[in-house]
Amino acid sequence: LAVEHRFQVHLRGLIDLLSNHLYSGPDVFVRELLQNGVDAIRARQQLESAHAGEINVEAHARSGAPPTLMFADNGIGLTEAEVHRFLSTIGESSKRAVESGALVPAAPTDFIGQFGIGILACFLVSDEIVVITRSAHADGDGHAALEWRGRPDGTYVLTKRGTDLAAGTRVYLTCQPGAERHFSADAVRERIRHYGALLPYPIRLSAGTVSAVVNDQEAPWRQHYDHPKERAQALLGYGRQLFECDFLDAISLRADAGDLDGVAFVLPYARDLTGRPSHRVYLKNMLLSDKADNLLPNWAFFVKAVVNANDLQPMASRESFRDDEKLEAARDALGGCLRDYLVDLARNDPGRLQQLLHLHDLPLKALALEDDECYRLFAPWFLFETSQGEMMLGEYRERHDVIRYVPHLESFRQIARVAAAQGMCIINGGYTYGADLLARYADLFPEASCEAVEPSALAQSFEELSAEEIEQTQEFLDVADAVLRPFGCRADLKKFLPPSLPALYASSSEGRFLRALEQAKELSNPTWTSVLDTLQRRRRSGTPPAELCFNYANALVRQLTALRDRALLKRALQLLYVQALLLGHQPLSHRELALMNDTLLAMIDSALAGAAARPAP
Amino acid sequence: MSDDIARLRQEAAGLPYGPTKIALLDEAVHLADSINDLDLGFAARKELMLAADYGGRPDLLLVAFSWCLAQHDRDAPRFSRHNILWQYKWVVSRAPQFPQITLRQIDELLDDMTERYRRAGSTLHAVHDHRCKLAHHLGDADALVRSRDLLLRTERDWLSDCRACVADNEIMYLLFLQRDDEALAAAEPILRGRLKCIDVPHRTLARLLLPLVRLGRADQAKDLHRRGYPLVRANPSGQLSPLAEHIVYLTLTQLRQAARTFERFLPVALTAVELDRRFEFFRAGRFLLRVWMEQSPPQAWKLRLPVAAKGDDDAEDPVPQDPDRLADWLDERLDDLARQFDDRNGNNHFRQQLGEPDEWHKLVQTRPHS
Repeated sequence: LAVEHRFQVHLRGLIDLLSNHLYSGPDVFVRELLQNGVDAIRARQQLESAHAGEINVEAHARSGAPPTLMFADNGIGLTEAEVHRFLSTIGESSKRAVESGALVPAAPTDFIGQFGIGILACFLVSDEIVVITRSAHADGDGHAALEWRGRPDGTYVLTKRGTDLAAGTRVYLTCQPGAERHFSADAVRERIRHYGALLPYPIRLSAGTVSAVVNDQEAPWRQHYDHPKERAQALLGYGRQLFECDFLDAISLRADAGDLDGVAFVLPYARDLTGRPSHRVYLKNMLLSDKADNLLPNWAFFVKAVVNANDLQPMASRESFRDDEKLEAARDALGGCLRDYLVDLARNDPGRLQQLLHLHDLPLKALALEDDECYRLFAPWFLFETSQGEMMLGEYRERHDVIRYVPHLESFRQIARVAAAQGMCIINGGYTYGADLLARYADLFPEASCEAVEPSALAQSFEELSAEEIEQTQEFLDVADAVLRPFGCRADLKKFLPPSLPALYASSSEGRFLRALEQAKELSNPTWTSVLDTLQRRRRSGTPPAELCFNYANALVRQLTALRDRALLKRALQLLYVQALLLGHQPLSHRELALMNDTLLAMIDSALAGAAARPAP
Repeated sequence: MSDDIARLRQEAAGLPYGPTKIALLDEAVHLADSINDLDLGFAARKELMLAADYGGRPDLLLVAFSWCLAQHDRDAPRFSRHNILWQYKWVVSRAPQFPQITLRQIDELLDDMTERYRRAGSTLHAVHDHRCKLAHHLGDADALVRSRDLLLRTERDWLSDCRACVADNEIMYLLFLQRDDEALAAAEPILRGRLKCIDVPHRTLARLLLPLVRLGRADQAKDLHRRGYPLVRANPSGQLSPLAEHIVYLTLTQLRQAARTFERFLPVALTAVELDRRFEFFRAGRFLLRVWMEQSPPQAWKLRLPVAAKGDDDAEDPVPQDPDRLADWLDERLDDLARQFDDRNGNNHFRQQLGEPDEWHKLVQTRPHS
């Protein structure tokens, strides 16, 4: 005969496991108790709308006995059936658990605590949980209050008590050894404030002779102020108190979607772009998370926000709100609040906007890329590195008709010096968003002209040699080409500034890649050498990967063009090539290194030979 | 100089994945080499490889890796083996993206990796996974089934991809084997946010769009698009494949939005180093054009490209702006790309994929545009 058995569950072990995975630590029992109280009050208010909810907490330290805590609410209370169902079953909660995940249709719910293990979390700090509860439904019909005593081995006892108790629930905890720090009045006050500072019902904490309401202040952004300045100061003070940070400004947030309000603080330091900023979020005025990262648009990483939402769903992990369409709408609305603030600054306080733009350069550039109006407003203050130092785009436009920029960092390094000598001011578009923003400029400011400059194009703008000069320097160029060809480089000869520079090395990104590949090939095993060989066979474009443009305005180069000693000329050109590479911070391949050594030694050799041939003075 | 290098690496560390991060790290590698500092060169390359892998630059990854591997083989205690073993996975999954790399060379790399994993005491879980990936790339269902059997029987170890990635790979294999229902079931932990990493759910959300439409689960597809698109649009050069999948989905549901998305990322696809991704993106664009041109009444469309867009061949003409000519232009390139891959792979898998838009097209007729 088959007999059905049940699994034996050790309750505390399970609670321990759950709370370690779902929650950060044992002090979540305060949150669960607050949550229960708040939910119970709300449920009662649905019955009696004028009911004034309140929560009372008592912390008792007794000499010779473990400290105790009592949490009392005047909410809806529980009937006997509800006690069995809600207090004693894991995974069931009076708030009708809805599995998270965007695929499950969200059931509308009035309650916050959908995923808690609820009151059972108290087993983390107390060996026994005593609940005395009387249902508001039972009022007046003579039903008794109930006492529930639960133990961590999973057993509980339910007894009937008198009818003289008011509706509501009291929870009594007795500190288990090792949990003392969670029972001190200071710790309890701190946790209540942490989770419940914004709750609309007074939470009174009594310990010894002291008794005070912990959440006596309304959310500062909901308070009335006579003057905007006063408001700003109050909010900044609040920010300092929460995050120990002197924020630059406070921006009010409001979104109809999600019924959301709060404040965004402008960070006084630039944040890097990789980590997603975290915000403090409350759900129905109860703290949900300190690290919500999906609340604001991507570009908004220059602020830290504190918000409450009354109409969003929490994630199962309680990290944040669930990312559904409602949150998306709320996010757009919050983005709108931040954007309006910036637009308002542009019109009324441009100095401050400039300060923000320089501090939070990247997020605001990202915003401008997404938002044309912001682009137009911010553009004059965008700061760029140019061949004439740092400059704001507005300043640049006043001085130059055409905006010239190089889209890559490496190209900028190659040509900045030469461009500066030509009196050209070239913007380095190689940093984040640089080239993207500049490419967009002409679309939004049709009167401006804007061009991307490539290093090789710069070389093309150099002054050509005259026909006569070309003839005179033909041999020089032939030798130079022969010297450079094995290194995948082409030689050219033009006149350019500064005259002190004998040659300009310009490589395309293709050229640079090929150099790195050569370098790796010199070291690799046969398998890899063959792979690298194959990679080298990329489709070639018309322009050579690298070019060394000699400067005919340079005295040394001019002398070399007249040199008839081909061997010496060859060595000199080899050295100039290596020097140009070094100036451009190009790593030398083994062959180039060998070339440099041989050439230097040969030059020293011939210099010594020349010295020996001369009679000593 | 080492100050410069440190500054570049730090700046790069603060940036999201994309071309700028790659450029800064490339510069750092460059400078480390110019002062011949091997340790710095190794460390900077490690960062460059990661950025290149996520930023759509497998060419840089392969070259940097070969350098690191050579350094490791010369002086193993100095240049960490763990890095080499870990990054070898990226290398073998990236090598097939270059049609000029032969199958034989790819096999040699996989064999070399396998041997190194074996010597390190690995269960070879990751090796089997990457053989599955290769079979998937080649469109070889038999080989995929064989390697997947091995994979499922092998224990994970420290060289395995993270659980989220392994789950995502499994979804990709199941979809390829036309086991959509199983794939969707396997996707549950990812869709519910229980498994995630730097690549997941980005890729997963995109690859499930079409299967969901096929199964008539339009609401869920819409939700996945809404969640997935923002995850990939910020790094187009590294996420061309999911972007292509979102474009196909949008073509079926919001044609105008599809066109805008295609315009926005076409310049990235035009110069993409990953030719198989370029292929996928062009194929999505080609499908979009076809549906666009069938609209009645016909709609005018001129491409709006941010800069005069050109392919990676300087000699080439700029991209045609008019849909008819653009369609021809894309067809030409798709044929060429398919031929390059099929010639290397010795089959016609890529040419067959050119037929997939016909399948998608049937979904257009069954789904009225919203």
